[in-house]
Amino acid sequence: MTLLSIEHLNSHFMTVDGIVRAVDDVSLEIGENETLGLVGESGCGKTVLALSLLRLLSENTKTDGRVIYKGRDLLKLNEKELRGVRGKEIAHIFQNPLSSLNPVLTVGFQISEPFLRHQGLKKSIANSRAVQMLGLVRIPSAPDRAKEYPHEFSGGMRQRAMIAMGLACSPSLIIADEPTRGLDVTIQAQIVELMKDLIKNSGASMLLITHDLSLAAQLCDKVAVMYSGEIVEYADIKEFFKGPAHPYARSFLESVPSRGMKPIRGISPSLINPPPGCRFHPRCDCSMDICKSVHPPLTEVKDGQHARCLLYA
Amino acid sequence: MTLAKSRNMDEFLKNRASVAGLIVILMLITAAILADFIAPYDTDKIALKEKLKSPSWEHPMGTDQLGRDVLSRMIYGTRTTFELSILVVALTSTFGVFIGIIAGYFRGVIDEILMRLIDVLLAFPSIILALVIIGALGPGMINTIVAISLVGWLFYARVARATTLSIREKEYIEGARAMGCSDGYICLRYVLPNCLPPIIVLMTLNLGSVILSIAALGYLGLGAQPPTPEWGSMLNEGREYLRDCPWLCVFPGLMIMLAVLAFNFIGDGLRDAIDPRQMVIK
Amino acid sequence: MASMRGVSFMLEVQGLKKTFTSGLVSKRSVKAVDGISFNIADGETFGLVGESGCGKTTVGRLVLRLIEPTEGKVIFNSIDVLKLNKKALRKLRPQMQIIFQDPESSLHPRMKIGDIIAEPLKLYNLVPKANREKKVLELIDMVGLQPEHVNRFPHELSGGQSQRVVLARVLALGPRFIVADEPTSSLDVSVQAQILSLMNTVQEEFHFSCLFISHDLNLISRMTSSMGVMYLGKIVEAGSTKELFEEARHPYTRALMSAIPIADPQTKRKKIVLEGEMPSPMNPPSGCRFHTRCRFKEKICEKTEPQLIDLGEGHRIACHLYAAEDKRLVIRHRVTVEI
Repeated sequence: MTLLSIEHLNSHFMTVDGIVRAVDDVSLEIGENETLGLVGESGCGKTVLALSLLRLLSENTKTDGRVIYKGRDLLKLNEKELRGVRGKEIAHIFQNPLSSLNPVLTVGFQISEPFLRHQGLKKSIANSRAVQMLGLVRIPSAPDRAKEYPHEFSGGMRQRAMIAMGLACSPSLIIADEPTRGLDVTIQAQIVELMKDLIKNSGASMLLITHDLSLAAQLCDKVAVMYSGEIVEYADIKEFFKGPAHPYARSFLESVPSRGMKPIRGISPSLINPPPGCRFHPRCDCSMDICKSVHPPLTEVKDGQHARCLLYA
Repeated sequence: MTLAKSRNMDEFLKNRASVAGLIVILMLITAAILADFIAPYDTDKIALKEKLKSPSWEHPMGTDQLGRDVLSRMIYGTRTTFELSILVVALTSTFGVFIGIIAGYFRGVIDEILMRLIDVLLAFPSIILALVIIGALGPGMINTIVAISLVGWLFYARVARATTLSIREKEYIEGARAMGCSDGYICLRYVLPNCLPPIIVLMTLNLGSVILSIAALGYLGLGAQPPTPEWGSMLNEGREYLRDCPWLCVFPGLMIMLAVLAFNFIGDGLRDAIDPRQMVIK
Repeated sequence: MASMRGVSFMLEVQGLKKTFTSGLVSKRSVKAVDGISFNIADGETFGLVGESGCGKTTVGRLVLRLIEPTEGKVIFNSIDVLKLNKKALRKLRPQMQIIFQDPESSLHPRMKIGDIIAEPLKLYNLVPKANREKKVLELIDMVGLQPEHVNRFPHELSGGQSQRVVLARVLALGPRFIVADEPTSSLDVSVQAQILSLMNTVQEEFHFSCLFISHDLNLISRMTSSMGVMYLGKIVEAGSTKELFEEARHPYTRALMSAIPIADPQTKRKKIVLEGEMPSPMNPPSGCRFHTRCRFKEKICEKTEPQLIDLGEGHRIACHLYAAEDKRLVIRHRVTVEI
């Protein structure tokens, strides 16, 4: 069953230098109880994609296409209907928990907020639910910790609090944007274990946005690789790690230190003036003459593995 | 010109008030420089026959109680005001930035002493402090400069120190130290250029307030002494004739307002135009 | 040059300590680095790994004397660095360089790339004026940039390109020793791979020793030949990188190794997930600093601080489980681990 389907989504914004095509004709599906990893390097548009799903982008962004969630197009909802979806149905866990948490409110209150707003619970009940949530994300002595302010939490604990906040209303879909960025490896390992358990127990789906392929390997069922605003590969996680089909996805995987640390030559293209034809062709080792002019479609390579490359067209 | 600089310039030129301010200031500066050529009369030429004439084709701004041409005195007054205020701002900013960078870069005891000194000086109302100083030294242009400068550098020192504090944490400063650069070299080549954007904004805004202070002291008879033409003292001299000959006060008053406003507009525009990433004072 | 077992060391660090104090009235002190010793052979890369707050970055600054150490000895190329006066230190500086974590703030924002690279040449008059431009272009080419970059400003470059500029400038000084403090942690993986392979190439060409500081064990294993693991200001285990990766002994090192992210969903590995977080260095635990999170904690660990002992072949470890006089514990530990 498909929970969320993104169809021909575009997110463009105007800058002094020109139009930034951060998300360019992206179509994706997330099934129920499925974790999809959206991976790519900085500037590929993955965060913009996540933000455009709940229309969290600034005014000067032009978003079109369709984002169908449980039969409704999220891009067509009005503000009030959208607020009912945000946080309650679809939760967003942001990167950088320190600036995502309000520094003047206690952590407990911030977690209880969705209970007050979406479920209309009484304050005392909402409070005890918040403490429960903190316990769920394994924060020791949760009742006391709930009364503390974000700056009193360590980085790992803040991230846990963010996760608790995201899960508070048992959403059907969680959008997690780099949930382990900036955390130490031992803390990362804790968070990964926690997220694995929570996702399994809650039955929620997740869209995991990350630059870290090893994180995707640990958490995801499917993976979509983004390059220069486009999806260039979409595959089952096991198939992907057996051998990515798209040359960029392959090089990207090979550049990971534990997979060979082989550099990709050149630099990521700008989102304003991407190269014509295949956007990866200037850096591609398999590039052919045709790649310079023809923009490849996303084609199925083998069972469920799709790549945007003319080698397979 | 770099990309960023030209973009800053574009941003500045988009702000209409700032551009208007810039045009006004450029006109005033031109007038001050070319005073000898464009002023229709000698400022000191006393012609009692012509005294207190209302504006006419011959005297577009009328004449004063001694029959001197107000327009000419205004033009030369521009020169006096600009000379004084630019001198004050140059002195105070140089000294203030110097002190601020030293305090911010070396921290520790030097910083503590300098900052407490500044706190003490800031505890006095600046105009009263200026009055006291002139009271002690006697009126006159040099003393005006001294009086205004004595307090003026404080703000530069504070802004420069705050900016330096954030710059010294930057890794390029550590890199320069690792390269073996001396502290003096680092302050001059690394800290100073990166301190400048907020200082330039401050200088522009400060020019406006210095003009006001000079005019205020002139009005109180403590600044430029007669017969030197100066806007504030002209205002003072015209005060007695305010009812019958308002032009004696209206034109200098308007001029002061125009100049201060123009500098403030330029300062605002500059502040918005200078890349916010490079603005360290918040 | 000092030598031990016939190996000459470019850098020797002995008992290095740094205590930061803050507050004028009620002084609070943090022992950021608490007695660290290691040696780096000529041309070798030594890795220092640990989690944030363990003091590894401070060590990098201390050996260069960018921060004054509280105690200890730093011997660079037979020169006692901590005994030098200001002038002599400045003269030595070009030989010991540093590459920072954040390339964007490592470059003077108002200087052109060409001037940035030429600055050290000018300062020390390393190259006659007429040849400077040629030398700059040579360096630029060596780090994989284009000649047109000379006239750009730092903000016009990407993070990877900026780090190349930093490297070019450092190389202009012809250093014998470079501290690389998380040089790629703010870069994308594909760019990280570019920069690190570039560093390997230039190290071969220019032959310098390197202290490579990182939180990423994957990088340490690729970049270094020997390494030390830091926890709360102390080295808990050190040795050759190969040996530590094959046979880590300290419970903390083992936990770190098992937490290394592997980019392959098929690899299933027994993970040691450490409970809790690193305690604050303001108030470190008594005895062994790791005991609050250690699975093999014994009574002695809470009271006595373990000394760094040599297990042979330069493999050093600070853990009571391996204290020579208590063989019983060692055996028990081996058994537990094998299960």
